[in-house]
Amino acid sequence: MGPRGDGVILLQARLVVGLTRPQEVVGVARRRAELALAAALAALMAVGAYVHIPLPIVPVTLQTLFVYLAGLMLSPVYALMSQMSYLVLGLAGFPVFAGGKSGPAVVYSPTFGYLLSFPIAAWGMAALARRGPSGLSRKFFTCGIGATIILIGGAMYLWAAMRWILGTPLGFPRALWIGAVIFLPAEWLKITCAAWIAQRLEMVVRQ
Amino acid sequence: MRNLLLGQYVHRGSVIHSLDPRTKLIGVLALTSAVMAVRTPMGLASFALLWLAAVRLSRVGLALAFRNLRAFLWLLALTFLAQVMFSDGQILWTLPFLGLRVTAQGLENGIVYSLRLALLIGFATMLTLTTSPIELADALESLLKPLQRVRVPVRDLVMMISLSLSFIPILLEEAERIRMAQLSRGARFTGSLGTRARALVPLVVPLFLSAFRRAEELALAMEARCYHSGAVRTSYQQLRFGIRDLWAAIAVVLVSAVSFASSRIAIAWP
Repeated sequence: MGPRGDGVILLQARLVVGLTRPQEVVGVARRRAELALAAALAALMAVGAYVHIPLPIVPVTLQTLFVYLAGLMLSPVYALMSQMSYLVLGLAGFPVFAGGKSGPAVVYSPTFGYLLSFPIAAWGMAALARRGPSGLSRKFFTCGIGATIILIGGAMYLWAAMRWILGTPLGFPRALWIGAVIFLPAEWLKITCAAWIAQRLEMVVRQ
Repeated sequence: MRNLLLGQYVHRGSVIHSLDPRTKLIGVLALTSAVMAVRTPMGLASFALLWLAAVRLSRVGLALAFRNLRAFLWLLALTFLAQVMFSDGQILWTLPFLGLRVTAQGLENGIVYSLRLALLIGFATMLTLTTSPIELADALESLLKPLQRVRVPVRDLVMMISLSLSFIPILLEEAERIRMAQLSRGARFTGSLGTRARALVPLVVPLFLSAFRRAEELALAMEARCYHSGAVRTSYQQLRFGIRDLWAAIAVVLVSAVSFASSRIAIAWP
């Protein structure tokens, strides 16, 4: 371990959950390093919106993958902030949302709930990831919780938007079906990828 | 890339462009909530006139103002159709084969809901057409400042936003480069679902590591420039709330209040 206050080494050390304890890490440098990493992750969210795999029924973007990775790697506050800055960028008019959408008008689209639950999911995952063991199965579990938050949040927003903005009320079970359940197979794949990638990144950095 | 860095902003030297971004942000919030409260076609029509006046005043041109609406076209159509098909009331026509009935109530509801949605999107679009993203970020920082009292790191958030903005084009380019590199090594991005999912890993891991490396360099550069996340920073552009902003704010408040009151009265006195 390098001298205290060294941004580079601390950033790598932060990644390896379990190699550093929080109290070992000096405040200012850690905040700076995490700020930079959180900014990079917010940018990756935007990149993920462009790199999409055209699957048959639902087009799948890489976005939730990066939400999971942010949740697994950052501390809770910075995980929350990185997702929030992504949201703010899109709402301010940069075309960073899926399909190149942007601007405050996105709020009125029924799928805004997924975007809105990204920060909450990342925060919850980060809070969960920093307590307990750091194995692959644990990462898998944490991602599962994140996916649940995103899908249920999205379905709830879908239900509310159909009712109050579009004026076409929808039963909640039905909203849950078309807003969450049909995404499960794709989400399952991304959870697997995220847990695996996080594990591999840990190994790469450990070397 | 130009599109990415400017967002939807169109530069024109109009009255609306020169308003304080905070005025515009809060004005749009007030107008959209007023639109949400309106329930009659006439009330919405008056808002549509107001929107047209704003477009005229901003000199961005109708074509640009409507362009953003196109992305939401399917949503508008869906809203209209759903209302027309599933409302009860006096029957106007019956479609012969499907057994669908079009009612007067349904038609009115369809117009109200889709016009309302179009207006919400329209007003929101006006904000991003006339305000550059940098201005909006400044406005947001200024409006969120009170949250610092409850220990929300607003300055860090704004710093993070501007940093990630500069990261986006770099990482997009990097992603494309990595994709090409993996293709040249024989990676396959087509095929069955499982193949495509597996193909993600050689794409995402290098991208992630590259983002990491850049974040590390950035942290080092920030350290070299003595960046301290708690310190107070000044900005080149200072926001000013002038007499024009006052007039605009008064106009918006009046319009919102009158429309809100009229929609209440219309309900109480049919």
